[in-house]
Amino acid sequence: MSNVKEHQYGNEWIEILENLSFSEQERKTSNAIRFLLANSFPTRKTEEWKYSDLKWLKKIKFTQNSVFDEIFIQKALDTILTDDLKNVPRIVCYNGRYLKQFSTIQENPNFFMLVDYSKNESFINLKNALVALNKIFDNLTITVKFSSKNDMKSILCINLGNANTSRPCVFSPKYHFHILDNVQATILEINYGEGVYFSNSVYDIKLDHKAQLNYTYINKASKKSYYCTNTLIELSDHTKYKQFQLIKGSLFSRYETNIHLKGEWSQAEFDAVQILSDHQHADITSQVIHDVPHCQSHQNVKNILSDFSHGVFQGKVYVNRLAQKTNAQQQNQALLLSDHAEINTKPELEIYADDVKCSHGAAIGALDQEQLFFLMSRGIPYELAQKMLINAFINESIEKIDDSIIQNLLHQSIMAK
Amino acid sequence: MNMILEIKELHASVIDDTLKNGLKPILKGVNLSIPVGETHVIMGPNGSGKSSLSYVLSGHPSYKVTSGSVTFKNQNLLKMSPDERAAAGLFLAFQSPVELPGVNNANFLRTAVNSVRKARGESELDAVSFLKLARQLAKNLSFPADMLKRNVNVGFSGGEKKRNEVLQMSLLQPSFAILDETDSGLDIDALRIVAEGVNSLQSPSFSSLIITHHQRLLDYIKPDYIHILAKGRIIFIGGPELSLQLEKEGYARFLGEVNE
Amino acid sequence: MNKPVQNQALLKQLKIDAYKWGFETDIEMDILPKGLNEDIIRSISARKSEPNWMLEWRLKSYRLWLTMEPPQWGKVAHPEIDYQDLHYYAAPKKIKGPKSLDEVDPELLKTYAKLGISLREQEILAGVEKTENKDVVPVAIDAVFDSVSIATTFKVTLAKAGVVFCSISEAIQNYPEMIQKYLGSVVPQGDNYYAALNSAVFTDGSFVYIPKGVKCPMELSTYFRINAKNTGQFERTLIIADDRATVSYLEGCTAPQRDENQLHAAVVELVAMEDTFIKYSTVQNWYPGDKDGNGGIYNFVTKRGACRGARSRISWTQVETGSAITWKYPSCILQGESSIGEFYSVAVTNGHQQADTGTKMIHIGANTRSTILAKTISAGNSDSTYRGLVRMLPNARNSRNFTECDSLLIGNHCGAHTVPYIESKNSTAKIEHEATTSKISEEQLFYCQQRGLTKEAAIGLIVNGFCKDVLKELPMEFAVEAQQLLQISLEGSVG
Repeated sequence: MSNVKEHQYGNEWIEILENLSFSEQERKTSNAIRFLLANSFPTRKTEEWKYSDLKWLKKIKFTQNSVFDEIFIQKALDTILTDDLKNVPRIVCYNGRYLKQFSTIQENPNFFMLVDYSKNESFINLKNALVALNKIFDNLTITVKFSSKNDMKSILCINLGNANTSRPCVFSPKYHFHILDNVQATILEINYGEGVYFSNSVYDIKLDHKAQLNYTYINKASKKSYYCTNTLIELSDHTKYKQFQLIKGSLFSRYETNIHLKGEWSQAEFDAVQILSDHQHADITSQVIHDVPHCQSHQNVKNILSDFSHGVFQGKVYVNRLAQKTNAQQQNQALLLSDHAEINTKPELEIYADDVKCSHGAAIGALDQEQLFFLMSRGIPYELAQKMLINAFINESIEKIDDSIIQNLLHQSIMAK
Repeated sequence: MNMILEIKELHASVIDDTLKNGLKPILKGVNLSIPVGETHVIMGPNGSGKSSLSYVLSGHPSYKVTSGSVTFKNQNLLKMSPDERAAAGLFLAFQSPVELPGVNNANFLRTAVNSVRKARGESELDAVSFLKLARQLAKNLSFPADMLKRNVNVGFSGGEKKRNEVLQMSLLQPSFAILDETDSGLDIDALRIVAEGVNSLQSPSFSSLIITHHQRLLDYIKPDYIHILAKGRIIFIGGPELSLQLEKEGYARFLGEVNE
Repeated sequence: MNKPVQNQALLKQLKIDAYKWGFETDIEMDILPKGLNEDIIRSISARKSEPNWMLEWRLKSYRLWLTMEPPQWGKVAHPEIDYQDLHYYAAPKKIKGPKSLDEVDPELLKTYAKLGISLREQEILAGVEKTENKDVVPVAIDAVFDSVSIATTFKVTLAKAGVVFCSISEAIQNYPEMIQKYLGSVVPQGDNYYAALNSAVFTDGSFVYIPKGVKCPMELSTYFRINAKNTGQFERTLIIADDRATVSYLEGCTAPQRDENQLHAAVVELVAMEDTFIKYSTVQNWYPGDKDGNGGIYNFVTKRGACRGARSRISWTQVETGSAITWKYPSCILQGESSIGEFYSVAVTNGHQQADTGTKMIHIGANTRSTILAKTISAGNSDSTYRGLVRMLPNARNSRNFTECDSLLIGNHCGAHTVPYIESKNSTAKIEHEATTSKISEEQLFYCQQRGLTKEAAIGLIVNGFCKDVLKELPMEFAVEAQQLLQISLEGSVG
């Protein structure tokens, strides 16, 4: 009976692969393709995909080809590069290609920055369909090492996407960020683009002893685009990892974050704010694995959902038997601003150590009526009161970011249409 | 006599979904008139509807007026939204002020002041002149300076919250203020500061309705009349001396006369 | 200062035979051969002299079951169950359908007496009179022994109030219209694998009907006992509260100590019309298996209540201490406007027990309310999971849910997990969920020990405190039993 199923599911992938012009031969030699064919196409019956439907992947005939569009790139960079950001060393990519002429961080023989286009199937060990789908392509791998020998501490990654061919394109970049001992690094990533395209990226992030990383990810891409990310973050001892995601763009997007606390006394703090409208769908899925004692993880996800939008949060905290004295918190707050918006939340705790403090909470609903009344009783009209409360809701998350340039950028991104 | 507020046969219910018709009657025929320039006090046992009356007057969405009328400055108050009532000059100092996480106090106060000014056809205050005014008023209320920078009522002590209410009142310059147990939970010094804040608004055109349990606030603010509210109705009206009598004897004597 | 000492003494006494309900009754049985097929189902139906529609209903369920697969999503692991290696019908020979109490085999009465349950009405009433506590009311009991109901007490008293309380077999004979209308109306035959199996082979269970405007004059209770070897117990309970009716129902269960695993797959359906209140309490104490994880009951249960009428209220309270595996999610379908669903749960696992339990609150109607309070305690090598769903559908305007899940781990070889699913399609609905995982603090333990309690007694005391908000929802006589059970269940959890 199980053979029949494999065959069925396999067919769905075969169609997608054929459409992407993979030959019979390639199918045999690639482990990633073999993985796809051996596993079911994710459907809502798959637990991890309960609330997000990948069926568009079967419907849209994506292509790997794209056309270089310098006018678009120049225009996009003019919009993105505000005075604050102009002088930050940057890597600019366009439809999955590194653009040397627009980047201020160049390849470096001392391995601080590498660009590679060869197939890399051994890149991060995450077993899921989207990672496998990323690996089947010969595509960009960018490696950046932050070391004390190098004074590059803050970088800006700009990922541009543009649908300029008759068929929407798919691109699958891989990023490897490695923060060496005692280094404090900041990465700001801005995703921006126009039209229908699919960006399916994979991130491998490593923090060594006492390293720190502040990672801010902004999606303000077109509301027609598709974004999926898979991130593996491995934290050594005494590290501090801070991630903030602002999701405003894309028709469908899913951000899967795996944080692995492998060294004692480390901290991971990862927050996200989704601001969705129209028919947007955004899914924040995360797993934090506490493998060692004395670590902390804090997660706070906020969804602001209007029109027909759909927000998803699935977060899991896993505490291994050895990870005593773990402190793990998870919080999801969703604001439903329309009768057609929808939220699905699944905060999950899997705990095997007894001396831990773990908690999660979820609060879902409309704006607080008492707060609205209080503001109105002070003479503030309804619409303005509503706006103040929504901004306050978002501000709580942004206020936690130390960098005022990034704070400003986030505020601007939120205000922008 | 020129009335600022006239309540006639007011019946109101709190919306309660667990009940068959969804309404729980609270006010059962309140009559109350306040002439311009007067200070009236409402006292009454717990659960008599004092706070509900203040919510109904300011337009809280959990209450429904089932019959009766309220005229405020010759306008139908019940037709106005809460912000319109505020713009018209009605102010409610909340018994339990609401916390607004993420909303900066100064920003909140300025938005409120400018909303009201705009509705009244006055020019909006720029940030500098607003802050100057707010700091001055805050100082009069012995507010620490950082109170304006913090989020509205978040992490405020009970006394700080009450002072924040009075600060808002001073900024919004209402012609009619309802003080819902603004004196409760205050120590003697805070009580005096709050009372001075209220008194500073006193003028021939300012009227107020004070809801309280205690005589002590009335040592600072002299009322014209005292009303006893019980079981959803005003059952007795007396002069300023009534509060002293109630302090001594309680409500029992008055309650005996009320029929459901 | 005396009390702690008494507690210690009690604990010592209980420790001797941790599972004191593990004895076996030796009685002549009528047992159908092992295996599951249409003939077996026909035989079960024939033994109960069922009408043809009932047989057809069973067969339809069986055919559905054949197309289904066991659910995989629970966090429980067990070897595949061989459904052909089980008996599906076992009844004491002398019972052919429920009879008056005088005809019940004295051996069975002895069994129940040993379990602390009297089936003699006079004794029960006398017992109640002896206590001076006015809150204690007599409890009417339906006693189910393996596959059949052997007696139902206080039938006459209840009939006077218009209340129907009988075995489901009797109800199929005497109230066929109601059975046809309501059986499977809350838990459809094909709802899930175990519900389909139950619908095909259920042998007995209780039926309750409370007519319009009636407040049931006494607590109703069913006591389930598995005795026979290699036998599955598949009981079916149906409770209907007509407009403005109120009823409180209790359920208790035990089984002998055996090395092999035994299957218990029950279905409970509650129907609540306008302005009703159904309170359903369970103290589940099936044999949990020995300390090495051998034997014990597989408790795969589907319980669901439908709040059909406006302002109806269904309240589930459960104390789950037994079974090798528990898989159950007592749920509420909140259809009637302003209806209320409640779920209060304590789940304790020790040894190698596995529990995956929780609830579903499906808010369909406007102004519906639900409360979930789940306390999970894991000790030994056990695993305990809270799994719950709160769903707000588009018409559930102004509906509310509040959920609190707290887990306590005792020792470092167990697991406690929380898996809530929260779904909202209504902007006016409000959901609040909180969950925590912690351990018993050293300070609390030390404080108790300094006052003379043993570590074990202190843990028992603290755990009872941790569960207090749930235990107080139980009817009084059950609350005492539940407290003792908690202590016994945690025996040997402290190294």
